Amino acid sequence: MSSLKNWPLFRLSLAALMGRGSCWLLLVGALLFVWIAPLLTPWEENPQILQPARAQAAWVYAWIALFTWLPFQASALGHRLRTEGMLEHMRAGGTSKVSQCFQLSASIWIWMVAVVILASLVCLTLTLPKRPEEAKMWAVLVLQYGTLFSLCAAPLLLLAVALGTRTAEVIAFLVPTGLLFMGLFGAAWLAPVLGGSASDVLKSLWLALPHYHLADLTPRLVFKMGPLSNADFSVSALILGLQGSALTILGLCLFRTRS
Amino acid sequence: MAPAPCLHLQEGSRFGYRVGLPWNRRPHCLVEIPDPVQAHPGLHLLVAPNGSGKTTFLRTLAGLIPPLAGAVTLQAQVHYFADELRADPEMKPLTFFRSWFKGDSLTSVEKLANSLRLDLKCPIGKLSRGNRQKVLLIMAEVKAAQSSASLLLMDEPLTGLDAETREQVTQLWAETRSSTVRLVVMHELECVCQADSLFTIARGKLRHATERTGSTWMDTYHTLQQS
Repeated sequence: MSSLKNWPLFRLSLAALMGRGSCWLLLVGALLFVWIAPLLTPWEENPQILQPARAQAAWVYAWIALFTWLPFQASALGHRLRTEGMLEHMRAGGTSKVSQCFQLSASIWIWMVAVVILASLVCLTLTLPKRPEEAKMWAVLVLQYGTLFSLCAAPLLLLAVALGTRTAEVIAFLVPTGLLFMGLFGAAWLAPVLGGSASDVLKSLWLALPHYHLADLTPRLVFKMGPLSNADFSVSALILGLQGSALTILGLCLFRTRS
Repeated sequence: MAPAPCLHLQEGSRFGYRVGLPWNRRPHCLVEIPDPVQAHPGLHLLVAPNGSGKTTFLRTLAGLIPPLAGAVTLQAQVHYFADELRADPEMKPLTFFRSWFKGDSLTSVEKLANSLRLDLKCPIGKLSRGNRQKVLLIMAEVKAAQSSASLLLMDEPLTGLDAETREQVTQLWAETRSSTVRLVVMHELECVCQADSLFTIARGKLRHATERTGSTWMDTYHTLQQS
């Protein structure tokens, strides 16, 4: 039996992240943010707003992490391991580029999943409605939110890792965060111009743009609008899945092992 | 029983890289193989002047660059340790090794670290150059021992080591020569007496000597360079 561990690059990357310690701050920060941010609202006048404010804070923190810590660590990890020559060492040993890219990405995805789980736990414990039928709808919405958020985040982080192995860390950080910004906020500005246009070119451009706004279900949580219908959820998941697949393929093509 | 590891270079093979824009790539040959070459288990030195193509040669053998012409045949699990290979400076050697190995291999790591006097609990970034090199040497040895047929390609692995450790490492190489082909780029030939052959690159051609001419491998190197 071999005494070599499976997925050594994943273990190495995960150990490196855990050794640096900022990942623990990310998780502790989530709890602090959920506790402190709602207290900045006028909750004393209306204590009922505390519950949705906590849910909102939990998911806003997840988005903030996806704009900052997660892509930063992903790009730095890709860049560091390539310049250290570890990727080339693995490649010579027979580990394919695809496997390497997934191993590195998985070590970041763990923290992305941890943030999603924390946000979901906050929603399902601290802010769960008391009435059973409302609680069920709330839980379904939280599950949908977690799924759509993960579909949006995972390919972006893989792209950050892949770009880190090819370019400077700052570019590898800015490209996925730029795409995320465009997909979350740009869509609202561009929808009237591109989406409502009669031109096929502009409509195609609108379709090609990232549609991460579909993954942001925070308003549904805050205003207790209930979960998405199965059809709406499936369409959103399909769009994010297809766009995520395109980004994943792009990331795998860009991944570079040469030191 | 697994076949012994072997490295075979076809006559007429050419190693180098391609230069120019993607639509107009031109081959730039650094090393030609005038005669067929075979390397069997043991220690093989690669000594050549700076910029002569040693690293390109090693990278081609590691499968990282395709040969410009001809073929490389390997019957072994390749482990390439580039000159610039480093372990994460923030990590402790023990954490680093635990990411790679388990069970018996981890015990071997601890034994080797003990004999080479490497502190496994000090962060790698705080270790001296020689001690950082020991981390990679231990990884190379334990990885090579995992396979019944290994090809270790190492670029200047003894850089930074003190004389005593160099002697220890070369002694270790001699003890494990039966299952591993070790091709090692070196400049300090005085510490290696027990090598099995010497490769050099002279005027763009690979020369190979399986026996010493003169009293040391350095004499052999000079002879090959002048021939």
